[in-house]
Amino acid sequence: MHNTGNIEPMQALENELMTLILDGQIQARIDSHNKILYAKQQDQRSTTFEKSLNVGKEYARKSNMLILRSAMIKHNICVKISIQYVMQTYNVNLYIQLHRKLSESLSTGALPDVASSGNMGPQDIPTLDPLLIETKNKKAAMKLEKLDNDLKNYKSNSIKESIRRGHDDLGDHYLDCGDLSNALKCYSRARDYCTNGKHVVDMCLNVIRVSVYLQNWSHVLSYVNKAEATPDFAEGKDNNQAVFTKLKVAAGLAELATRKYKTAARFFLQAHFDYCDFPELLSPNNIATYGGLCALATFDRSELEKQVIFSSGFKLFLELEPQLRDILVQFYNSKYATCLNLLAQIMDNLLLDMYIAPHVNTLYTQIRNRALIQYFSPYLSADLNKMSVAFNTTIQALENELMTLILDGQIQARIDSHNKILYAKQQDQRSTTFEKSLNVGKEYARKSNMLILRSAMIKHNICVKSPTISRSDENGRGSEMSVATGSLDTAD
Amino acid sequence: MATALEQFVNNVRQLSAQGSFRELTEIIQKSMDVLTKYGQHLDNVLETLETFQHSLGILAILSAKLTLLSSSNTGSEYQEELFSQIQEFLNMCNPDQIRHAGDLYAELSHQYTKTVMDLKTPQRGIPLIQTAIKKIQTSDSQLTSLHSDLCQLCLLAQNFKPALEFLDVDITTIANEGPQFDTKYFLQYFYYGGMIYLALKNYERALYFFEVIITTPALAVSHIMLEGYKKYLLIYLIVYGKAPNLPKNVSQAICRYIKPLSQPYLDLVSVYTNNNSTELQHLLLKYADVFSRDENTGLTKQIVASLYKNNIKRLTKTFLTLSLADVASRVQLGTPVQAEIYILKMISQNEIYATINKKDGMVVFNDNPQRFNNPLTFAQIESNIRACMHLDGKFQAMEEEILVNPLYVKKAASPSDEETGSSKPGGRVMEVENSIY
Amino acid sequence: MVQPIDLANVPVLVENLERQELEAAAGVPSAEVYTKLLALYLLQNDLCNAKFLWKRTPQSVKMSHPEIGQVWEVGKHLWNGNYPSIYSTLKRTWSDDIAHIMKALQDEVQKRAISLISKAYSSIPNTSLSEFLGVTEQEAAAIAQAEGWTVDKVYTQPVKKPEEYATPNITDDQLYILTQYVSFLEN
Repeated sequence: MHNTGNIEPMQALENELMTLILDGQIQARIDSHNKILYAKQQDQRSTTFEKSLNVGKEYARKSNMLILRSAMIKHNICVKISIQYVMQTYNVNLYIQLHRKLSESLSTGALPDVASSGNMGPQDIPTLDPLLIETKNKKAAMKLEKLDNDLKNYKSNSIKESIRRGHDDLGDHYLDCGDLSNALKCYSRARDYCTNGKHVVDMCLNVIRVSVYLQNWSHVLSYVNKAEATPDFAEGKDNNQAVFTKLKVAAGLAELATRKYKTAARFFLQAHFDYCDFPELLSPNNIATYGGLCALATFDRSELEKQVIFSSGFKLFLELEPQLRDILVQFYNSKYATCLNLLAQIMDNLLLDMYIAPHVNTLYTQIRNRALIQYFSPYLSADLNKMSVAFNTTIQALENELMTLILDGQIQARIDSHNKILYAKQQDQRSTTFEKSLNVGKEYARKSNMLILRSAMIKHNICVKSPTISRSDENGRGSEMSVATGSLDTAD
Repeated sequence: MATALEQFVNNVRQLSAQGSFRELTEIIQKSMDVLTKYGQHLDNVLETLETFQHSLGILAILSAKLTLLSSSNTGSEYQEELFSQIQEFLNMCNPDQIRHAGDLYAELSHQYTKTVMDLKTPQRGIPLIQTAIKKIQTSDSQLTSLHSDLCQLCLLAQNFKPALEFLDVDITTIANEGPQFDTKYFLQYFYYGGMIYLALKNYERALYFFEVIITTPALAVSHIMLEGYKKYLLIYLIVYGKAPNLPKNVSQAICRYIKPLSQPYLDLVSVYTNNNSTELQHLLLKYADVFSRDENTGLTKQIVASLYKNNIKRLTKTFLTLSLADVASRVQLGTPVQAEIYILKMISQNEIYATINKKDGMVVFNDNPQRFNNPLTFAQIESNIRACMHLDGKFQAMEEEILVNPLYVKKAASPSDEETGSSKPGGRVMEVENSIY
Repeated sequence: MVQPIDLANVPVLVENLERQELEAAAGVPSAEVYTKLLALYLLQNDLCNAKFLWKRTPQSVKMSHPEIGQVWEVGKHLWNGNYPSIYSTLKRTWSDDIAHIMKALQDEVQKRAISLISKAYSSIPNTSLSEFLGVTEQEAAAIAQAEGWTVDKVYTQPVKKPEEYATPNITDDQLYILTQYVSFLEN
């Protein structure tokens, strides 16, 4: 662009242009030597890179501080709340443990603002009360005795219903004291005294609850099945919805813990929003998070669309977790960069969650792999540069990720490292079939020969036995023998 | 007194003429002491007997002479004479007769092998044992304990081709040598055979042989099985490039006793599956003396080479083109020149299909150009099918043999008893099919 | 006076020599047997058996007949794939027994090198080409052009040779075989 006018106004024009350029309102550079204004393409890519690197650095620093602080705060608050809660129960061991934890965390360089800026001042930090422990223990023992006696009475009267209830009460008490194994035993004993479907279901729910605390997931699953198989349960849908949901959620938790993410997602998606009232297991937010993440990691596109994003039932859950809903929608719309960024943002929170923390990394890798596969699926050939930008990684790292996926068979492609392109590759069915059949033939021949040899072995009683003292040397002398000396050195 | 000897000769003459060889065998068993006592007369006795008609008798005499050879200090002339006598005997004896005294025959061969080995001239024993095996075998695919002698001699002489003609035949039956075929010779045959194939770099067949060793029924631990297991692990890595999964028939002894004794090898396997060459080298250094004690150092060197090859193969499955420098860095080979050498070697052995472009320093990985639409493939498939049909025919024959066996019929009729001995015939074919598909 | 060797005869020759080795008196064959057999193994590209033949040759034979050591030098370089050394060790006057074998070996090595290069390289520097073929650069260029490869100043571009197959005779036997298959599958 040329400017018109004399020298003086040129200087002023340059200054004006400078401000405009610095403000970003004009994309240009001034060639002061030749007095030309050149329009400049913003190298979006490099600036984005730079920006993102800086943002990343800042973000990391800030979030680490924040996480640490929030973790500590959460930890301390949690401990305090739990102490308050525990003081109302008979669980003395837990009480002692919590106090110990609290004193540890407060003594190890706790952030000063916690105590001062938080709602609780130093005077609110509870102290271990030995008298409390004494009284609690006594009370617990007394109650236990009473319940035991009651149960004995019921048993002598042989009234099934009261025996069952007695067992239940005993189980509740054990649970209160924190004695999980005894609680489980009592609840299970109640099984023999259940007279109708509802009792069975109740019993199952109790057992499930304790098993979840014990993290005995196979138990959880088997009792969920048992409850669902109860004949009376299927009828009377309405008031059973709560039970139904509870069972599904418990099953989902069990599958999640045993790494069966797809089944876990399915279970979580079957939960009904209005009947999610079991704070001792988990909250509706948790259901939303777990279900959403597992589904994202394991469902394919149509399943994700139908059962998660556009599902009427699950929508209510997702409203509790708007970030997660965002993530799902972005993924569905193939905005992978944003989706992965959002995922990274909520990762720290997830790591604090007790059920999903051990699985966060696996789930994230699976989600990322799915994103890569989905990204590439419509292409015959894709530019690795663009792809690495979309996934916020370097070409080298991307090549490695793709290599794993290709070797696993999840993508049919080949990488052209020279030109940095990923080519989709058609599997040649015919050749693979031929190769396979030749291999099968070879395997068959090998195995058959082995079998024939084996039958000859058995026929002639070839067996390695230790030398028996009575018989002569004719028996198979296995253990004392020498391999020929001077055996081959098979050096290449 | 020599009368005992004369009596022996008369017995031999009489019973051979009558054809009652079983009696003769029993008499021979009892007369072995007599023969050894009158060692110096044995040559005269030999003169009086005729090789073909009195093979059994001569067999007994020769084995007696052989036992004397090791104990007494006889000259080398005596030795040479004995060897040539044995040779003549083997060339001309009557197979039917000697099959009655299979264990004696085998014992002769074992003694002879040991003598030849002690003299440090294993090579001369090879043609002798070859003839010996061919004489006593009832079919090509019958295993005798002489097989293990032959393999042992070949290994010591470092001359493998003579053994190959026997090794290449798949064994279907086992010879009758006395009341019990010695398991030791069975295991030894497969161990030596496996080592021979290893030396000739026929890894697949070697793996087969070692697999037989570790699936032999076992109630106790045998050294051969232990060494065989270690070699099995190493060869499996070379052939398949992944962690070995043991076949189902492996005996309990392996899992309980042998695995704990082979810890360095199991460590090697797990490091190999990480596909990391530098880690592998470290591990080999760490356990160098273990491997050298077991005489597996050569094998470990081949494993290092095979890890590079496997890593290169993985690259061919994922990349279309790659620079030589990248190949070297991904496979941890050091320099691009080394990478080029490896790739060239693999191309020459048809293990991968690639083209090197030195101008750009790039390698282009191609697919197997085999289109399977040429007469060669057709011929290959035909021969495969024919082999499978032949095997199936064998199975049918075995099945029929058992079905008409009166013992089996009785047991099948009364379902309460279990079957001992061989398993149900139909199940065997199913077993094969199930294990493949 | 080098008579060309008939390559089809080689397996028979090898068998004879092996038998001679085994049946030799007192278990020690003559040096000629060893030398010839070693050379023939190299010609067949059977390097494993060659290596073990060398290993089992008695020390006395190795000392008295240095030629067998020279043959093994060639074998060593063949094993390592070191083409320049192969050609340099091959270039010497051999005794009459094995002169024709070694000449045939030289031709074989060159032929194998050509087929390997055409399979493996899409462009190869002329220096490497002459190393592989054991000749000067001009001669190498001449050979390359004879094969139909393009040669420029620095690089040669080899061309892959398509594989040739012998066409078998498809006769009525084929039909018989097919019926056998079908009846087998139906049982």
